[in-house]
Amino acid sequence: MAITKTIHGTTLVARVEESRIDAAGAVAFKDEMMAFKTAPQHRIILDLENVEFLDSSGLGAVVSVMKAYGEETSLELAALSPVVEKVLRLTRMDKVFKIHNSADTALAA
Amino acid sequence: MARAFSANPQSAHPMPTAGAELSRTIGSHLGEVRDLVAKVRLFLDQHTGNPDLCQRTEIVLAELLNNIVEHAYREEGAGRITLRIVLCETGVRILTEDTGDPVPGGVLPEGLLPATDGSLSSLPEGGFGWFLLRNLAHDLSYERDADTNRIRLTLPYSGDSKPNT
Repeated sequence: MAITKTIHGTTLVARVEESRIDAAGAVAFKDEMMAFKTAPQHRIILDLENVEFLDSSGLGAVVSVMKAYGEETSLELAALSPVVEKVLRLTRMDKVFKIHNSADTALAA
Repeated sequence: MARAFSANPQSAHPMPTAGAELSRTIGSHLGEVRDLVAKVRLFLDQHTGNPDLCQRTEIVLAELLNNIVEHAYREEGAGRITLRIVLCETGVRILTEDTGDPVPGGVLPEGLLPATDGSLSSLPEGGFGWFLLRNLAHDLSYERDADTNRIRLTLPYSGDSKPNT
């Protein structure tokens, strides 16, 4: 799965370049997110601007990435589409992740 | 399929094109589910002017079809899934048929929301699928007819999800 990473100090912005994080792509998403677990990051901003759709498998993969990075890294979400927002709200995971309107506002926060 | 998009800007919830329907058969692969769900989303966008209904249907359909691939057909790659979608006055009716394993005990999973208020390490990584299905779908039914599983459900035309309990 194509994910573009940019470093801003101790914050990593991971921009998903595909439109769906679903059961067909959940493993690839997790593998790609774990591949740059090298230098410790204080924050990872997962920029979902391109992502129109997230299913329960995709959500599970995002949670598993957050757990793998542990307490010392804050995994935050940015730019949620209506479907992504709905899935997070219904499952109450919107209370678990810090959510930003965009990667830029997340960086400024 | 080439019908013009005809959302009524006067109404937040214009009526769908009642009677429009779509039938497809796919192989039991997560990638085929992805493509079909995306196609259905386009179909719904064309025939209803109701983004909320389209979003709810897309979520439910993905969970339903992925579940058939992963459980009824055990992700072995063999098997066919038939989907029929009908737009009616009350919403979107969905029927799926597959010839995979029967649902254990003949009863669809209850789909309770996993607890999300614990420590980081205790957060759930699964178990959301049936919760989403149960929460959004109405009139969910399952029958086993000879070697065929048949699941029916409706996405009501208007209305939020059921309240969380």
